[in-house]
Amino acid sequence: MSDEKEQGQLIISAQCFADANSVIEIAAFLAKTLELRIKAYLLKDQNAFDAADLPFTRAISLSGGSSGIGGQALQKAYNRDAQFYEKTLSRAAQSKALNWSFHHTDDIPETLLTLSSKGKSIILYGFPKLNKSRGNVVLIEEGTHSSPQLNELSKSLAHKLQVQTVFLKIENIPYSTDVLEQLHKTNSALVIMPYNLAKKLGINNILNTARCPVIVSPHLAHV
Amino acid sequence: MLIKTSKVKPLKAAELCATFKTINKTVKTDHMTQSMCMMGHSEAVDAIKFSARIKHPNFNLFALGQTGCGRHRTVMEILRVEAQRQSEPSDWVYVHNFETPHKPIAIQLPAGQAIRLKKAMQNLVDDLANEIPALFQADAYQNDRRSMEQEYGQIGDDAVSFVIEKAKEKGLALLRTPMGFIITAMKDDQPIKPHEFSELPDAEKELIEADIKAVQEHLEIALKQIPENEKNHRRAIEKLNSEVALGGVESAISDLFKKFGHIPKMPEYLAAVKRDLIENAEQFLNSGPAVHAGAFPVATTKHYKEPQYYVYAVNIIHPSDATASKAAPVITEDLPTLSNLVGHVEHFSEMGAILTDHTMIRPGALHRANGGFLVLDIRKVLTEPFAWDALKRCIKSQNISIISAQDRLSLSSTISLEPDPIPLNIRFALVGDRRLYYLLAAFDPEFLELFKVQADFDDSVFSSDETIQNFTQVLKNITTENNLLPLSKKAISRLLVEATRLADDAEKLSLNVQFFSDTICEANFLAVENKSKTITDAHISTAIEQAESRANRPQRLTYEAIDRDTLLIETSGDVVGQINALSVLKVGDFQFGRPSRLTARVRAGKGKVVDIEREVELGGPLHSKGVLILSSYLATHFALDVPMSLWASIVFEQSYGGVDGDSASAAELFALISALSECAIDQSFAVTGSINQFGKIQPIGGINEKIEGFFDVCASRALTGTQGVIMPKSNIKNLALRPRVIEAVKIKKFHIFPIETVDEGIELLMNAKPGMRDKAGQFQTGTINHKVEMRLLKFADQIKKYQKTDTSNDIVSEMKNV
Repeated sequence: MSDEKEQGQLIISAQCFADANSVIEIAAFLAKTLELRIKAYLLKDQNAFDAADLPFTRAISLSGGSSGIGGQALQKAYNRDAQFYEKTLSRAAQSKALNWSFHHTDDIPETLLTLSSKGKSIILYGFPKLNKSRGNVVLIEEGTHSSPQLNELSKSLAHKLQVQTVFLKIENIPYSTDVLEQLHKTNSALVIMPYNLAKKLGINNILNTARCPVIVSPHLAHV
Repeated sequence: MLIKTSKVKPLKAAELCATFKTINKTVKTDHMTQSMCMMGHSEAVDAIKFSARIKHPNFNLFALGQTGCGRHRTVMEILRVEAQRQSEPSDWVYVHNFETPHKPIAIQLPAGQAIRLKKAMQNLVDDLANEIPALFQADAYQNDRRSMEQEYGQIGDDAVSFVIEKAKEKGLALLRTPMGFIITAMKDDQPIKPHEFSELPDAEKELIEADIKAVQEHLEIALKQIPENEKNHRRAIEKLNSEVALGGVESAISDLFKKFGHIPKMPEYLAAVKRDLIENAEQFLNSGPAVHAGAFPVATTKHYKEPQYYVYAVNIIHPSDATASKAAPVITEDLPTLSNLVGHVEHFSEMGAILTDHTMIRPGALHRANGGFLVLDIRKVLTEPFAWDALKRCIKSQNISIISAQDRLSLSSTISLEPDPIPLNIRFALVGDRRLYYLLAAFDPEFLELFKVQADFDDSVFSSDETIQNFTQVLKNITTENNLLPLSKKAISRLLVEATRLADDAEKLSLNVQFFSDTICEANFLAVENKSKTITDAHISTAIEQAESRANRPQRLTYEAIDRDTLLIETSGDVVGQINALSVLKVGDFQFGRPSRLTARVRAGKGKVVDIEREVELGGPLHSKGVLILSSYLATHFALDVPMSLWASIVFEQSYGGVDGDSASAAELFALISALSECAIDQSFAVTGSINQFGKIQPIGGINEKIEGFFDVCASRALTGTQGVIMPKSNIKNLALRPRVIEAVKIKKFHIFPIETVDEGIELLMNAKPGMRDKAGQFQTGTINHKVEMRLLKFADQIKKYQKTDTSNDIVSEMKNV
């Protein structure tokens, strides 16, 4: 993966079409507002393929239905989701005249996070909300310092999603479980956090706790 | 040759036309209808009033009479007066049916309340559009809403979080894939690989499998709970919204309950409105202040005009005009199509779909006339598809049901409405001619049941001081209402004369108001052109002549053919078996008299008079009847002791069209008598009149046109002073001849002889005594009748002789064939 030097980029991380669909509208909005290039990834997690080949593994859909699964069936579903993902992104990007590209990758969410530490990339992790409550835009920041850019971003996204903004200040980072506990109690629609915090808390932990899209911003000055 | 010996005297000029002196006395009213009533429509007027006043259904009116006699006007004026006596009808509105949207509800309101209800509903919408957003933006509501979302959002998440925690505890990992969540075992903090799993001891495998299955089941349950949780969340929010909206709606709608709650159907309707407003309060959240309010304050924004609020709109069906009179309505519909009568439902196109709603119900004439009167022209109703049927259906059911022609023909494939029928309370007045009335009575079994009252307008009225006075007033009213010049006394007299001519009776006046109105308008035009201050008799006469000359092309062509001897008519000299008969031709509304040559030939035969017109099927039944009557006259009047041994033929020469009527039967008889007696008929005369079996001359129609027809032919060849017309004496009362004829008679250039019997006609036409039977039963020798009888006896003798000879058989058989 190469950095985009001329134009900042917005990386979309999705493990399935449901992930992507939950963030494409937000991605288009951000890309347009911040003049970013969209680089969309569909993550093909090899662990999922390994697990799918175990004899007793079943796939459980978001609506709670379960079905048998195998490597082949999963690959088929992966290909189908890739098509939908690319098509939906294409439509959204074209409507706003955005630069975009679509990629397959074997990386996992944590790997993509490292991209945020380089250049100007903002990473947008897709995760479909399980319930339809509107929730809040949650801005998580470390220490007493408050980034005006992230504040601005969270406000504009809250306005876009017609929800409110909730601020979570983390004074003492070692107590990460407290942070996650607090995040869990907050009905989140979207989580915004800086790169270093995401790295410390673990992006998978954040996603599994918030169960909503997460924006990781690397360089506050660019936002 | 003018008869000097005849007892029959020609008519004097004064007898040829009625004369009138206009009455100067002013009548009490200027009201056209009252004048017309006094002139002879009193029975019709009584019938109209009766129909208007009787309350029982189906006593609807049919006003019948000839065109132009003022039926529409009289009916309208009487009904307008009757409408003043009746109370103002109720208002009717259509409102949205919240339970069954395609069946709008009709609500009856006291007079004047419809517009108030409409405005009140508009105010309600406007008020709520301003108040409800404020209620929902209030901090109290927002706090409640947030805490509710937090609560329900957490419930679903907690269950899933619990499963994830369980999985972690058991060393399992939750992976997201395009097919959903997958739960797998972990080894060294990484998901286990298949080959690693297969290398595990069986006991451990079973344990992992059991753990995974357990977590899968928990996850399934947790995820399945989410929709249920969502539903509860939704309901909780709806409840919260309802509670918030309730306060605003209740205070806003309470005023409507106070004002309209006592009216039947209104409490139910307002309750439905209230329910809907509360259930759909969120629609008001999008209203907000108008962006394009412009110079006007935002508070004045008319939110009720926005399409989402149409369900609260009130569609006023009656009265359509808020400024309408307070009396019962008197409505007329000039184009009584189905939709113009019963109303219709309009549609509009939205995104390619054809849609409609209760605000697009349009009232018809029945809605507008409800509670009053509806006047319709029956001819127009009958010529409009489905209109007559719809009218009868509404009268029978006493309801106004809106149904379109498309629905009737099952052509409509788009969404439509079935509005509540509105109870019908209309007195119908149909106006038409007698023929239509009798056709409907004969062929439509429902007609007499639904239209029980007939107002039969007279065509004419007997002339009397009173009727002349009223007629004069009608004429004056025509000039007043049309802003015309005043009529001079002579002009009125001239119009009265024309009225007698139009009535075809010197003792009657025609009630064809339309004709007089048209004539006066045309005369007024001439008077204005001549810069006259009044309309004079000369203007009237010119107007009548001009109107006739515009229509008389067929007459001109006929007279031209006579002048050029294409149509052979002799107006001088004497000819045996030939006579000038008179007929009337009618083209459109113009009719004129035409002389025709009628000839008769005789010979011995078996007592048959051949009507050639009938043989070639050009003669109508009445003409044939006349010929049979004259045959009977001959058979019973002459040669009574011997069999009738006459063969005769009668024909209208150069007649190429049909002939009907018996008005030429007298002329035919004279021609036969001339042929039998071999005495010539004076061709200076034309004859009209029918005969009976006793030789009496009976009246006929179109006498004026017939006389004028022969006069015009004679006048074009120069009047000799011997020419004239022989007519039935009983037709004298019908005379209303044009001044040109009267002038000629006055100076004895033309003569009109009224006769009562055949003998009088014989004397005039053949200048000889007809002859009477003496005591011995014989006609006086040398008289016409004697000559006729002798000829008939001779024919009988001939036949007798022929029958005695052997060779005569052929002749007899031939005669049988004749």
